[in-house]
Amino acid sequence: MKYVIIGNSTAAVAAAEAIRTADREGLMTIISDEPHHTYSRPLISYYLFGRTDENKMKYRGADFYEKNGIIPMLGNKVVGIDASAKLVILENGTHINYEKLLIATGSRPAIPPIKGLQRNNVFNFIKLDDARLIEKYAVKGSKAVVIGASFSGLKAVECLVERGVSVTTVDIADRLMPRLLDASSSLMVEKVLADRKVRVILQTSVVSIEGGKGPDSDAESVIIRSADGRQETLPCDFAVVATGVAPNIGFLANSGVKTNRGILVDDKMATNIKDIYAAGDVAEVFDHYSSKNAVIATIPSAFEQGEAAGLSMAGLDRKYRSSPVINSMPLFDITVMGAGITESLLGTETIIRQKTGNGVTKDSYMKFVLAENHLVGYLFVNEASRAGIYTDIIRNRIDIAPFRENLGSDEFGFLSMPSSVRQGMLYAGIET
Amino acid sequence: MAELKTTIKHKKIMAKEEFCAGCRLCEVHCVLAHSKYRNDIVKAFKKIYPRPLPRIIVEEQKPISFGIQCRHCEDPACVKACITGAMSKDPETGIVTNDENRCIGCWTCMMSCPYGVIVQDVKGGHIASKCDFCIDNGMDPACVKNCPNEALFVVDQE
Repeated sequence: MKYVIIGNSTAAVAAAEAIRTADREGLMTIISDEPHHTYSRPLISYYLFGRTDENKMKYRGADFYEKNGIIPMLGNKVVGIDASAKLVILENGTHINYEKLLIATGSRPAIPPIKGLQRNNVFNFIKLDDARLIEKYAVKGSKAVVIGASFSGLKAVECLVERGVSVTTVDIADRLMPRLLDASSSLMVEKVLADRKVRVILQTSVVSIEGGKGPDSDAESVIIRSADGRQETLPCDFAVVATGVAPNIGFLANSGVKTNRGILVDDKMATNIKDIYAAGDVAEVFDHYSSKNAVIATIPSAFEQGEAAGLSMAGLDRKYRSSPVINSMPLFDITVMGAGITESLLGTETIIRQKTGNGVTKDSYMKFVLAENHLVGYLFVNEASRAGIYTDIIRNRIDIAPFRENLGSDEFGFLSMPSSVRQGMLYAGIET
Repeated sequence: MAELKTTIKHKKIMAKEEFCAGCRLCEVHCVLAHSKYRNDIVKAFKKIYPRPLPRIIVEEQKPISFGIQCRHCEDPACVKACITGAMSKDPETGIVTNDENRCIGCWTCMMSCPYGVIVQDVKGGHIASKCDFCIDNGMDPACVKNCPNEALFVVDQE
């Protein structure tokens, strides 16, 4: 069997490892347009402020490819797929044939309609090479504008502040990370940023990035316009654009692979074309928790999808079922965690527990989103203890009616739930 | 004669809540076993800063109590969720450990563990901490050994 995987990050690695649990003999090739050993993309901000280095950033050990019998073709961009001939077409003209193909090409930065993005000192913030370019500009005392208060945008803000850069962050929404945070939690994060002298400008769009003569010349300022029409010019030494991501599917234009926002897959992670599978940020799956198709761009989901795709490719009958989507973000001295549905949608009920710090503990916020008697999501700021139990309550659709008063209590744990529920969660599948 | 266990595959530490008195000696011995003063409780607790955290969590709603810790799952959610690859399951021993050199304290593992047994160690830098089945103590868990009422025991799933 010849397996080809396009992609070299979480979903690709999970798939490769899953295939190898079932098939140690088949040939396997991983193709990536990045030249690097598999590494963790979320670590690029930690790289920029010195908490990690290129060696520690590796997602798997240095011997990963060798020990798993994988031929790595790194620094090779895929420009097309000929599904009838079962060929992957590379930019350099080479054709790679496959018997089973996994597309795990992840996310690409979303390009906002802003004039001036092509300037030399305007950067994306998604991969290691972006961080390496930013390094040269992000010196102490420099000024930066970060466009987009997304998860990635705020991590960029954090590492730039740690490098002594003076940062302004701009977003069109009325709160930070609008899909994750609500008004209360956004205010808590805004306060942390203000404490670190970050200027936060919300409900404001970016008009253009202006600079010297010539379209590629360095940016010198960012022109913004607020919702009420006021315009302002923000001087800058460089800018970072972090306005979101989209599935990296451009190269599939003539392949026949069916896409919506992402590559459409069934519960075996198979696309509409036989022997072609997709997993990770590039895939669009059925999310059992929101009951609709979704691109779930998180590492835990990418791993589960990649693992399921790998097992399917190796001929095992293993169906993928989405887990509650989880996101955890430490930012300076605050931690934000969101699981499942964090918005108060129609038909849901919300329980809020807000606590004021006492000097030793921090201010914290817990929001539980319920539908009928089931927990469908939670949003925590500075509350991490036992969080996984709540995720499991979402996953298993536990009836929370008998213990709803205990949600968010200080010592929440298995003893906060009735004995029958506790026994089921603690001892399922274990004989004592 | 005590047999040195070389693998914990299919083994889990479980609690007998009917015998747990909530004394928390398991926590004390976990701290001791993970400190450099293996035989000196006073030194382990008073001379090390930051003090190592216990990796067993004692839940209590009197009169019921029990200790709970990492179960080194066959299919560990924390390993799959880990964004750096720091969390891994040793294929030989079956023990799930966190590489503290690579952990950056994102806490995604805390959100994925269905038992909620990963804790935040923040004093020594942001590191996720959890039971390691006393991997540096001959895989002979200190909590099990030192419980005065034998309220913790190793169960074999094979």
